[in-house]
Amino acid sequence: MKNYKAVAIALASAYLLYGTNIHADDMDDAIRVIQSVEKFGEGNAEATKAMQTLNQAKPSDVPKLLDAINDSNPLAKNWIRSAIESALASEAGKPESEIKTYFENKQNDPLGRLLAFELLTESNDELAQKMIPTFVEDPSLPLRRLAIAHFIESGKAIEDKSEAIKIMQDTLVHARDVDQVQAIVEHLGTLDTEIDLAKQLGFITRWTIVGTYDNTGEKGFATEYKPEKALTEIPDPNKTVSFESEFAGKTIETHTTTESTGVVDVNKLYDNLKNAIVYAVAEFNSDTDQEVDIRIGCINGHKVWVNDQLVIENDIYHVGMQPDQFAGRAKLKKGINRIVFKVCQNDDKAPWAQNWMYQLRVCDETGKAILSTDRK
Amino acid sequence: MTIFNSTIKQFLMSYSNRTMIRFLFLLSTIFLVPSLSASDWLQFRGPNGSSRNADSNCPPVIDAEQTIAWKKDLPGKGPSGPIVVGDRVYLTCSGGDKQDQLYTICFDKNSGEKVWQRRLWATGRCFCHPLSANAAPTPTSDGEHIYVFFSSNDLACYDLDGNLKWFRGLAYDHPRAGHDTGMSSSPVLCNNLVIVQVENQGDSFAAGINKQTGETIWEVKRDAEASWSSPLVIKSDGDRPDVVLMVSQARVSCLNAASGETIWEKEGPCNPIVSPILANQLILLPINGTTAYQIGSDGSLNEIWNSPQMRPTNASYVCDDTTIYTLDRTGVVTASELQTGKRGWKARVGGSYWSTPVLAGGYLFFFNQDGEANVVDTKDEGKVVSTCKFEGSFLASPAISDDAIFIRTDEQLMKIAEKP
Repeated sequence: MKNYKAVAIALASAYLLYGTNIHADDMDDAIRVIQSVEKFGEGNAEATKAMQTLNQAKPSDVPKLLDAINDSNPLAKNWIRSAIESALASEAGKPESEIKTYFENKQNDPLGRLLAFELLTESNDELAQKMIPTFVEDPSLPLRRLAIAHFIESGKAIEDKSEAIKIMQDTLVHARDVDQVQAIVEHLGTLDTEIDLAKQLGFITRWTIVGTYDNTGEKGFATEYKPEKALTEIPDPNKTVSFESEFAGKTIETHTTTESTGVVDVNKLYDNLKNAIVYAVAEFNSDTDQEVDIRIGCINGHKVWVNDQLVIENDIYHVGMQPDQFAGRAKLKKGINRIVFKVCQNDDKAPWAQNWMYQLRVCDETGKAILSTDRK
Repeated sequence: MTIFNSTIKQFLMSYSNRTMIRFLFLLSTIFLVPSLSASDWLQFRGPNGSSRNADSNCPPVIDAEQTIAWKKDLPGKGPSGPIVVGDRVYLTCSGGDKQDQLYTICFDKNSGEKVWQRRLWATGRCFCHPLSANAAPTPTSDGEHIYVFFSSNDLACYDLDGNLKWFRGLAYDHPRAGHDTGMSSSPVLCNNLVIVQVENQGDSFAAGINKQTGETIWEVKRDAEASWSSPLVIKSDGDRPDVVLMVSQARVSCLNAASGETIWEKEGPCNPIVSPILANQLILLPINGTTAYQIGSDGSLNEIWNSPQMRPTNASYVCDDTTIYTLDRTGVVTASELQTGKRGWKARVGGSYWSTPVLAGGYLFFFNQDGEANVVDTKDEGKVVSTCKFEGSFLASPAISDDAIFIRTDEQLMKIAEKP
């Protein structure tokens, strides 16, 4: 019994004094298991066991964990960042040099680099303020956002008008988030420098509004009306298509919105009609074959096609609307492409559920506008 | 004894060092695992979802100087309420310009000192109404782990020391799950499951998640309409299964908590913001106004009474053994008989409310959007005995622990108690 006690005490003391230094192989295995988590909880049982290993990590393990973020899906990224937080909370000795090395490699994961930046500067605001302005062209959009915010704030404080304009215009080139572009354009407006915000962000402003069609009972969302079949195909420049309304009102051949973020208020065009659908159609002339982001805001049920591809669809009504609310990837071909936006209004009686509107922009994955050649 | 020692020694020596360390660690945890305490507040609306602590005597007069034990700044906002486990208070916040930074924070209940803080990146939709935030659902705990849930449908389990046990991105599974004014249904626990209600116009579902691993045990489709109500677990005291009640826009449902199978449901217009309550063996559901039910041995619900006039708007029901307290959007609190639904006294509390009040020592504590804490005496027909204005806005529902109230604004968590 004495021998047993001695062994137990010795081992417990070793544990308390020296911690459990995870064997490198154990850590690699645990990381691999966690990186295998997938949708619907697949891999969670194994990952939970592996997390017991990673939760014993020490600060010296943080560089390896940061590297692991690079090859992780969004689920696994959270498991691993949590292991990093636990490791750094376990004892002192944050490996600043290695974290800096990870951060400085711009090929590393954008969120991983954001985390690295936060770890480097969490107790050093002066360092953060020194680093942030250098992120203005950073490939990590979360880091770039910090820099853009810095230049917006500092630009607004500049009294010299021409200097302020230059700072804002230079910042505008690199800004990608809609709210930040809006803030810059708004401030430039106060400096008598007008920027077409809709064009800057790539919002489509000229539409043909085909309609209307029946959406009673919200059944029209799933109904393939004549325009839907005819329009959602590769456009043929030798083929003219036109459609008569089958419900109420009539097709509007050309509508140009002047709203600064490309919002089209369909209520104003169709006098607050309920239970109705319009197909808004726009042509987009691409200078090359390319993949683009289609980003929309819409307060009504909607479907969006680019040529014959259904890019976005949501059978939802009156849950709010904002730019970039929904997004999808689409392939443009060189030449004329057709964008079709089916916008479905219901007859909700609530006062906050009356709007019928949409907006759509074309951009790259970072949010930089891609313009039709006839608009450049 | 020698043979025993020798055997034990061989047993110990036959394993690797790592395994032995794990074994000893496991032994030590047996003595460290906290047991549930009467002063715990483990979920939205506390013990059994009652919004009540019958043993607590919180100060009936709230004073910004005399009865604020401590207040601590928060790194993000949220209408999620605090929970209390042992000597600690746990809270979620969300931050970042896009509300995509998801915080879970632990404070010492007595001193207010931050014990730990953890963060996750949102994997689902982060859009919400400007008044709300991604940290809208209140966490829950079984006394050993904390289960946090966010409007972006990110669900995580931490141990009490802040180590992540598992993570799920439920909107990563269901990309259309979300409501762009925000979702706020709080998770509940039943036996080995965390149960979530994710009702919205997109991918609408409810799920029972293994609380040990985060694996899905069951998942059922729900009506494609928004609901912000939180489910309520009714444990069995007999042959029937444990059940979970859910409120949708056009029906109330009683599901088998272990399987998600529907046992009973009733159609009718519901208030999908208000959560059900169990009080003195009566279940109150916000259908057709308010309807009181008793649960049968087969899990079905038998209607006892209905009151079309009893219509709480945003705050959920609060009950003691005899009385129901409801709050409407004009700030009027009504007391009604629990057994009959018959209306009793009314009192104007004033202000606009999202937070569900709490009941302690015969006093109802209200916290409103204008930053006011109002206390009424239920023994004196709702007489307002205290009004105190704070900075900020109260959208979260409070927690009670011992003789203290824990309440948060977007900026701060505070403990309301008599100063020692």
